[in-house]
Amino acid sequence: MNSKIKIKVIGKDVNRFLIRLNKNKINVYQVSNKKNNSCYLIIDYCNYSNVLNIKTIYEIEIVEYLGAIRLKNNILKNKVFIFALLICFIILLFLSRLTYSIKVTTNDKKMNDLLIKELKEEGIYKFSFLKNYNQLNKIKNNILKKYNDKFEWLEIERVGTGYIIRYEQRLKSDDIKDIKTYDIVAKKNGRIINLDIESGQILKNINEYVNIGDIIVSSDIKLNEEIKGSISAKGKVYGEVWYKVNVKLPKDYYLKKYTGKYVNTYSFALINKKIILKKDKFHDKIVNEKQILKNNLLPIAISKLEIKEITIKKDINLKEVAINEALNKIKANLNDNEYILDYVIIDTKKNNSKFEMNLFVSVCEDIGEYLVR
Amino acid sequence: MINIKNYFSDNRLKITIIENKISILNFLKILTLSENEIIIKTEINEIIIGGKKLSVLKLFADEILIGGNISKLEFRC
Repeated sequence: MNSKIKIKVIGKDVNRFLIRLNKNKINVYQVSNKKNNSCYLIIDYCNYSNVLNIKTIYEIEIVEYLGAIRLKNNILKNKVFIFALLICFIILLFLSRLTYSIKVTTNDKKMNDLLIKELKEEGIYKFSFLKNYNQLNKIKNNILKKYNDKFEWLEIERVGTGYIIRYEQRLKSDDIKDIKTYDIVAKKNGRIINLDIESGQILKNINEYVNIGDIIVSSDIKLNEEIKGSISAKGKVYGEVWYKVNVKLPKDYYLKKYTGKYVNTYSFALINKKIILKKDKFHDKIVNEKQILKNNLLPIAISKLEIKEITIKKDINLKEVAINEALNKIKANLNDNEYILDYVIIDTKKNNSKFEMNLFVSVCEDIGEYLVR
Repeated sequence: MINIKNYFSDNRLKITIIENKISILNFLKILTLSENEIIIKTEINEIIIGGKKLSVLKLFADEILIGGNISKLEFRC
């Protein structure tokens, strides 16, 4: 862009100076306030140095910048203000994307607390970043799926910098009586340990071995081999079942243990540079990064970092680790009243790269299931 | 036949008078410049502009715009 400047020329005879400018092929776009010994001229900025070269006794002074050079000068002059404005804008953008209120419009405190806890797990809490429509839909569906029995309908509406949450509680179907008649049958092979039966006739006793499909509690009430009545069997049957578990560990297995120390911070990425606000002094660590702001137009990104300190233990007893891993594998599938009874190591194998162990684990678990007559 | 070179780069002298302004295109140089008289040299002659409070309003390498109370326009060979 061709920038121009307005200059003031002071000298004995400015007309001579104008002739001189013309001889040197310097364009003058405007001559104003012309007096005998001074005038204002608008010339190309690129010709300014030439004007200075031919000025001799004339005094030249830049009065005003015009065009792109004016904009450039204004930016340079106000660079601190512009930078502050930009920072303010980024802060404003950052603050406007935070959550300040979460309102649940129903008065059931227990349900509200449950909902707020679930929303927190899904990333909706005070001062967290606002979610978009698709994310809200996903969260809503997750909660509805998880609490299918509690919520009939759920709506998370984003209003300004907050959310309004509405829901409809699902009516429990406890009152609807099940009129079907059931037997309790074994769903796994095992040895009965405990029978907690409310109704029905017990056919198998404690310490008796059962196979899959065997009727443990019958709905038929018999007396002297004659059916006297029928009542749906109800209760729990706990039995000892056995599992063979195989665990493989690498020979150079190491154990990571959290020390409990952590640093929550934010990182700003600008093009390929990353600035972390608060640095940690951890030797070994695990960093969980969650991107909270990314713009495809601007080359900036803001992420939330959770840096956890860990200790790495390399000199460990592989046998102990393998047993724990095997037992944890089993525990992961157990319910509240179910537990591990005992275990036996069948064999262990070691080769150049692997440590392998086979265990036999006995577990006390619910082995009964209802079967419709 | 149309002279293409002349069409795109017209070097002929052109004088335009609008009210109290004179524009001269394709002049060679300014010989005199004062409030009462401006003399401009062209390829074929000298143009003398006389009047009062004459002033240059625009000045390019080959174009000049003069304003003021113009009372005389003379061509001298």
